[in-house]
Amino acid sequence: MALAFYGETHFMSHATGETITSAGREFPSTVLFRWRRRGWTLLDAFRGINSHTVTGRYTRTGKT
Amino acid sequence: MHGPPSCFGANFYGGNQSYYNLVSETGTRVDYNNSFHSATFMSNARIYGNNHFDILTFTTGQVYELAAGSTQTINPGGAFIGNGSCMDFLTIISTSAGNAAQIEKATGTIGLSYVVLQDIHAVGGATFSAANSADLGNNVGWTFLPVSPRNLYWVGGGGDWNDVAHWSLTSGGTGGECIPTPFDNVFFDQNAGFSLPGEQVNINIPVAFCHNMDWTGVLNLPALIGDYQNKLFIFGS
Repeated sequence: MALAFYGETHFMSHATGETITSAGREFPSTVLFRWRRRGWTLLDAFRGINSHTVTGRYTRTGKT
Repeated sequence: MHGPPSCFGANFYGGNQSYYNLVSETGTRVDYNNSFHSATFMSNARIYGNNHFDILTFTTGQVYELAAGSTQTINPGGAFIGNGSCMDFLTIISTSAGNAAQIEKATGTIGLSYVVLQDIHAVGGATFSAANSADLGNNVGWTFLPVSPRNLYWVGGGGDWNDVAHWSLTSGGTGGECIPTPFDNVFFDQNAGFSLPGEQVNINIPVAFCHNMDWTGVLNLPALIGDYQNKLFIFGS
């Protein structure tokens, strides 16, 4: 598959053992990693234009 | 103001007013403290101040921001109607990151469904619950009702994320399932129906969810697309 999703992608982990395999795809927009216990495990190379680890909040859609 | 329903989108500056039946059809801002008999917000709204409602209605697919530190009170005997749908969620958040807004009701129950909540505290003694909903953090006083996780398979080739015709309980099966919640695994496999190269799955709603996302075995290099204002949340277990 190809990734052309230009909104934010949020990876929300609530437990241990969460994994991401992106198989060479590049995330074309902001990626945020959030977790309550253990973080995410990247099983291969992760490519993203703008990636963050955060504990913050989901920001509004800007549609108001 | 008493009388027939008012139908408009507006900004309610000034505050300290009483409104009877309000139906707001476009984006709306409410300022300061007001009293409403029935208020129906059919589009996005920001609500500031401490307001009182007999009946407050939010609409599926819209985003509602409540001022951080404010309290929106549902009067005794009143109702808060906030249900998303099988095809879209309803989002309620505060206006400030990490700073909660309150919804207050003294007695009875408030039951929402298909909602996204963040920084919303439920207070006042009523029972607050949310079914098929997403807890994005700092929500106090809510019971998020357990749901049965599903494995949802994309079928029918390219299309919109919120089209139930593309979600099936079986690989290559018949569509018609409600769109994924944070509890559902989604699969795009060899039976997803992508018959031509470059067909697209369009995240066409403000917030889309899934638990795990798996594209193993998919054919013809489809694309996951979506505009910048939409967001995808992938939850772990």
